[in-house]
Amino acid sequence: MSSRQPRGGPCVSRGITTRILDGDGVTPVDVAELYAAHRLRLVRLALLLADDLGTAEDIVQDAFARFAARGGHLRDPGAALGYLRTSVVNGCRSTLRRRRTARAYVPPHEVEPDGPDDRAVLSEEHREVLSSLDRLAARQREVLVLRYWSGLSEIEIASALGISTGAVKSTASRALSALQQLLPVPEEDR
Amino acid sequence: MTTTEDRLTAALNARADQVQPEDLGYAAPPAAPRRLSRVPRAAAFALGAAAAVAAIAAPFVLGGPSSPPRLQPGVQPGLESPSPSRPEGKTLSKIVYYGREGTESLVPREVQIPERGVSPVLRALELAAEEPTEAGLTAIVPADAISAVGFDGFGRNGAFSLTLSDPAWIDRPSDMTIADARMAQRAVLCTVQSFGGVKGGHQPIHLYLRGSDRPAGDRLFGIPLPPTKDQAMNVDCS
Repeated sequence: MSSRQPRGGPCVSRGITTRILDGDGVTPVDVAELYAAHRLRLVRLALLLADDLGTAEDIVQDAFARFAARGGHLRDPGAALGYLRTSVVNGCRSTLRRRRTARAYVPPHEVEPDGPDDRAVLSEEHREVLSSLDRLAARQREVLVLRYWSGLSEIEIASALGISTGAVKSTASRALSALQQLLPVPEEDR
Repeated sequence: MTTTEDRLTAALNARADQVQPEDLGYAAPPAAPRRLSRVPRAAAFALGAAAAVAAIAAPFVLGGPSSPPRLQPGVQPGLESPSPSRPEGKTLSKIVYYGREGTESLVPREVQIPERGVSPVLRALELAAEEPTEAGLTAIVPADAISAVGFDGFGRNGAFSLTLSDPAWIDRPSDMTIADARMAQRAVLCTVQSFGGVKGGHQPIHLYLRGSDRPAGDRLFGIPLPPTKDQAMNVDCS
């Protein structure tokens, strides 16, 4: 193994439970329990926003790492899931920003864009809906995913995205209208 | 009639349900980073500074030969060989690069990497940092320099993104010669490129810092990265 010294940073460990105490040190939050209970759902949320399983897993792992690093500073243990959800949404946003930077590069040769392979197994109807969803603005996509997949209330969405409930309402309304315009008419209605 | 909301909900559920528990790679939650108290941190800093001063001054004080520092194989406690707790299953056959002792040549070696679990590219870099058992070869990729590897964008439009675990890796570590640094950078780039990007082709590589979205500049281990895309995709891996 190379001789460079480790520089710290979070690492994946096994079987370690980090307890985060609230302000009074009364109610412990067990990170391992949260991880077991919510990781899959958070990965799915990240997948819907970032559309890549590996990236989604990394984003969720980072969110838990940041959460664990906050030990002792979370006032409301009940807000743990909300904190993680916001962290995941922010992580997805950062990832998409990076992708935009990479996409801005124009290669000097002809490009054959490759789509995510795992979407190929979805039905045509679902692919069309997801493809239309991809064409919405990031904020609109986030609001729709949190509302129609996560099933969050407007207040919860506002908290996760750091915007007002009014902004959630208007964004959701505009996003649905835009989506409707983009979506082809389903076969059964033709 | 199916509403837009129904169609959206059904599509989101279908996409999300593609991920099942067995598809997930990480085996456990991340541990909280261990924090040193202020006194030990200050003591550690003082010790480190004293050691650095001693290392610089020793050749002059002792009048000994001033041979360049050499990479010493060591044991990196945070890096483990594949663990039974990681999901087993399909493996990818990939190439990692070691150095030929006493030369500036890279030597490719095939390794098996779990398809699922920690990012396969990152795992390849971890393996490249482990001292090989084969005589005459040496690990030249610094352990833990890269904390994440991603692929940004799609298809040939994409690029590998390497996240440095610490900004210090932008510069050449004090115990690394320029030749070692150059080899280490080539070994990293070649190992990452062995993953082939799209259809076996090579892709550009961008550096980032942990926790930042901004590119980390154009140097790795103090050596400028290949300045053009063509050069980045045609690093000398021999």
